[in-house]
Amino acid sequence: MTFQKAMDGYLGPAVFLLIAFLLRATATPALSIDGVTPDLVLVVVVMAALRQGAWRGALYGLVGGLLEDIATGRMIGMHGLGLMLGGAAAGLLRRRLYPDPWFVPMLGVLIAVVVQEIVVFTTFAFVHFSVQDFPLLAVIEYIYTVPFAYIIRPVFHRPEAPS
Amino acid sequence: MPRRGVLRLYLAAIIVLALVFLESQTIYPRVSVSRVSGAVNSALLPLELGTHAAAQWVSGAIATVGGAFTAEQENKALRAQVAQLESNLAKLQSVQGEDKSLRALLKLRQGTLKAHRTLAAPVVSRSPVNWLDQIVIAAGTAQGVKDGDAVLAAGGLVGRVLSTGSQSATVMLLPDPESAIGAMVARSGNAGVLTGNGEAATLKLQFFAAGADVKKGDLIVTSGLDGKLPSGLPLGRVTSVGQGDFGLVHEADVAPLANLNQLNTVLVMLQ
Repeated sequence: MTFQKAMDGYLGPAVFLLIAFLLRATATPALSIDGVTPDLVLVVVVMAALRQGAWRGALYGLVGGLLEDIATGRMIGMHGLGLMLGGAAAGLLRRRLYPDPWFVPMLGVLIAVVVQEIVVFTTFAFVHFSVQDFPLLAVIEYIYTVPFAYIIRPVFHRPEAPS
Repeated sequence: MPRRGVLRLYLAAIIVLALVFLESQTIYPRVSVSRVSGAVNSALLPLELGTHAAAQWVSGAIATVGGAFTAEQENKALRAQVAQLESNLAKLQSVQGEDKSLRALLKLRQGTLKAHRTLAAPVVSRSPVNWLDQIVIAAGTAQGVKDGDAVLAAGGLVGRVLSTGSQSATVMLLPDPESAIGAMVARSGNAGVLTGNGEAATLKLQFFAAGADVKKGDLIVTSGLDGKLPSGLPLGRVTSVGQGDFGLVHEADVAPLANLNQLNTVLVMLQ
């Protein structure tokens, strides 16, 4: 199996999802700005969605989000739902913006962060959890996450037009 | 729309509804979910320990290479020597930092926690999501850790055990939006509830009494009124005093005494 085939199937994104999850739990806390760290799982979901489309983006988002939910053990489904919808939304850019202009990862991450944080914010509002400066922290999260999309962009970049 | 597309849409809708239902059932920790979570965290523990060690090694290597690069710019001839010295210095500083942290924990153990059984546990990972502030420690039910145990670091209390696996436990930190701890002003004894708001730097203390005697710099400790934690454990210091959003509640901003962004080893107060 070639690398490009693996990245077109489930294996490549799944491996990157696991690595991103482990790094997010162990390494990125050292980069924390007042509790906010770059969302590597979201980056992998968005980049896989941009390569494979909305349905696969939704699937990877569902798996990555549920993994995060189960690891935290609370509000199971909050990130599963948020990342699933975020991955699907980012995946819609795939055909529309080919041949892959430079701003696509930036836009994809923006869409996924907005969708995911709407789900999180709605859940928190529902249970009266208060997160001070939520929008500001979400903006910091976005700015902090985007560079990582460009770092892994070459790995997920599709050499030919989507079918 | 082709038949396959319609089926996929139905499937997606069912999954969305299932997730919303699941979420509504697990908004507050349930025993069954905690067990699943504990098992997953215990299963991931070796991978997380490996990644944690690798990340620290890479961080050290980058610091060394960075030091060597700077030295080369300044003086090519002394590059190797400077790199070696900087590497040694970085190691020494790292050891000194760890030593300082462990000494502070020892002091805490021999002072405030003298009458309690404690267990030192390394922190292996942090919450993989931004808004829920929790850590995973490499000690679980096999080591005697139970749900609700107090967890301390150099400075004072950092949180409580939320769920346990056999070899690991999840600790909810003070800034978590769900965290609420009975607290009081050590000087005046005025009590209230200390809650998290998602930011590591600031906690919110809401007093029961309208005219609570509190001022900037006051030490905040656990009150023991919640029946879950012993009284007198140091929590933080008051940074500002206010009246809340509508002037109905007397409240204070509190900065945690422990550095919650750099937790490497913690002390669990065993029940």
